[in-house]
Amino acid sequence: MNAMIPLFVIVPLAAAFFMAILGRFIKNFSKILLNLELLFLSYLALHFILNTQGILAYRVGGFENAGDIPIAIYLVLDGLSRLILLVISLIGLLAAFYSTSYTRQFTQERKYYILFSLMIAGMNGLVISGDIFNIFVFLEIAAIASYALVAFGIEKQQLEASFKYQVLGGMASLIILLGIGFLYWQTGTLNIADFSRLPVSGPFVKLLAIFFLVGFGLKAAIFPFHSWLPDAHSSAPSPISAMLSGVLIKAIGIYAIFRIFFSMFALSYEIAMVITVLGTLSMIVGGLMAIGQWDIKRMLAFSSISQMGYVIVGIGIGMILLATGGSKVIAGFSIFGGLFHLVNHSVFKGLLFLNAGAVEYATGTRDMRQLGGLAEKMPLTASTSLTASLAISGVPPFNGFFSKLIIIVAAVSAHFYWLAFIAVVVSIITISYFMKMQKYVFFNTPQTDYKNFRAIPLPMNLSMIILALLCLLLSLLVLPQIRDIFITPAVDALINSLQYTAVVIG
Amino acid sequence: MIKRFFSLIFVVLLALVFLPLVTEIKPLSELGMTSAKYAEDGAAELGAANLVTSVVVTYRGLDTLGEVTVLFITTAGIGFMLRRKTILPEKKRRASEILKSGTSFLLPLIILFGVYIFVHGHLTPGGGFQGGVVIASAIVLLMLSDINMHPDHNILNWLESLSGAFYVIMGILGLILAGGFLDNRFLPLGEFGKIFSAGAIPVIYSLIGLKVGAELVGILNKLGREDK
Repeated sequence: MNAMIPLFVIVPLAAAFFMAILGRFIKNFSKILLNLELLFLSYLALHFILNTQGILAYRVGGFENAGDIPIAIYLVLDGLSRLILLVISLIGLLAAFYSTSYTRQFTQERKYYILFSLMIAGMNGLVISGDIFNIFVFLEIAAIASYALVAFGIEKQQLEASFKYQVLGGMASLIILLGIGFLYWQTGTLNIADFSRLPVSGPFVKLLAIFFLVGFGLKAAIFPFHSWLPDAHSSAPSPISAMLSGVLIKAIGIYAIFRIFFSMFALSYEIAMVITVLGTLSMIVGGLMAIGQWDIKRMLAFSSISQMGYVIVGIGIGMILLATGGSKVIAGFSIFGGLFHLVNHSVFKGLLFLNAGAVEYATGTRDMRQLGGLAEKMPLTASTSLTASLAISGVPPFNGFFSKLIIIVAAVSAHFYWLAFIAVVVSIITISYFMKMQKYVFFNTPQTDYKNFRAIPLPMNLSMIILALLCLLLSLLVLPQIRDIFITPAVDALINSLQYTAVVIG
Repeated sequence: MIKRFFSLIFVVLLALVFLPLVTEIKPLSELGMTSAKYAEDGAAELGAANLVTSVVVTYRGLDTLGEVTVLFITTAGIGFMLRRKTILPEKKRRASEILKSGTSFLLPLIILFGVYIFVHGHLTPGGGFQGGVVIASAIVLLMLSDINMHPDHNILNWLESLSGAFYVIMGILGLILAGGFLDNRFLPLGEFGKIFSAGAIPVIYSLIGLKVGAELVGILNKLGREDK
């Protein structure tokens, strides 16, 4: 069973190289291969969630530990990484299926699919790796593939956004690498589990924590490191925006931060507090900035910063409680809320970007002031977009309502009343700017007569319908029976982070 | 001016933070535990005379596979970002006679040297990355001496994707036939210090050499054209 773990990296990597070789001769080869690959990965992730439990470790190259010193690079699969892997593959599959008709407008379709596949390989590798330098390598794969994909349209604006993203992303990578260098210099190990049991403390650990928080914070676009995100996420081709906002910032940002601060460093109150405060600020700043936007995708990008704030706040409260010895039940509840919102956000934000892509595909613009009345012309896009907007604003019975409610209830029971209040206010702000988008794009009187209107092809519609259904179905995750299968193992993995070391090294 | 002044203050403050790290540096008197294991058992376990190679290709093979992939993405990215209509400069200056005859004499030697470096990667210092760069430098010399010569980018793409695919296949063979993904011991380790030894390491390094060479030539070729 454990021998299947490296497949999460091997399959997308091999697929990308085969697309580069065979895609030249066989028409549509890359498209079909990418979809098959993601279908397989979704199956594999689901299989691991349903049929395996606990922490699985795989040693690359099969090298035994020398005594209790890990020699090989470890690939570790715990509850949290299983959940993130499923999110990556599932949203990836729907975005890839949507792409099959969306990318017809590009001249180098094959390269798009190669880069898409490599981005998946990078994210999967980062999520399953148990070695900090290996995490860095996969981070680079995912990040560099995303720089290229942001610039895929090679218009002036896209190149500029990509350049900004590259400069800030490069700085983030440099800071992370510097941190890894210090870490290896001081401890002689790169293995996360091995590091976590070493008796290191003092200013050295604080320095490392700052490096990693800033580096991965930049990748996750947490306030005040968020300035690249609105440009990059709005300039990319829409399915890629869905991947970037829906999955990438979670896998290479949020996941990495929590993996490092739960499994690698001992939980500390200061770091937990910093993370929670930054999360709160992201929530507020992203929300306020989103109100004034007229470009649909730019608004969605700012909204991503705000919504990721909820995720960080949810898990951050849990961190504070665990670090100060507070109630484990409330901590678990709060972390559950954060992870639940993470899953939900990847679904509805993915859907919203696909909707924006459909609007742009049909009308050629994404400026709200030039649109209007599309509810009659594109009923499917309009209804799925309304679903996603209600879900993200936290209207029952959609999934976003439950995850926000859980985060707010957890904040109240942990006595963070101000935080709960802010979360409610930001939720109201969220609903206001999404209603603005709905009004201007789908309901207002049309501003033009849509001369070059194009009908939306079936694959694009199908992806949007499935995601809209997921917005409704994921509400079921609040039911204990379903929650215990999908999210509880991930919550346990974070709460009992000591187990990670025990299983990997032991 | 004010902005620069603040930047200067920021840099000085940053330097103050890092100063103790530099001044209080103590040279390590003994190897760390992981490094000690590499140094003691690496040669016997993997059969590579060059210890660095056994760490790069095998113990931390997944990192190397990742780095090779990063280079692949970079080439692909540069490829399409510069795909706008590129026109060669009109005024072409012919290369001098010295450069031309020098190239025809040196070219085979440089290529041979590059191949030597990556084929002997498991025995002597060097390896796939270095050998690939040397080979790319030979092609660049050829491009300089003959201004009309442009490497066929189809062949380059072929070389890089094929060697990338075969690298992954070698890794999978390790998974099936030996201890795990990227294990080099599915081929016989052979006699220590001979060219056919160290299992799959020479094969992997040759693939990396071809890949890196093709990618660098591709990048330089793309960057060498002017945009109009």
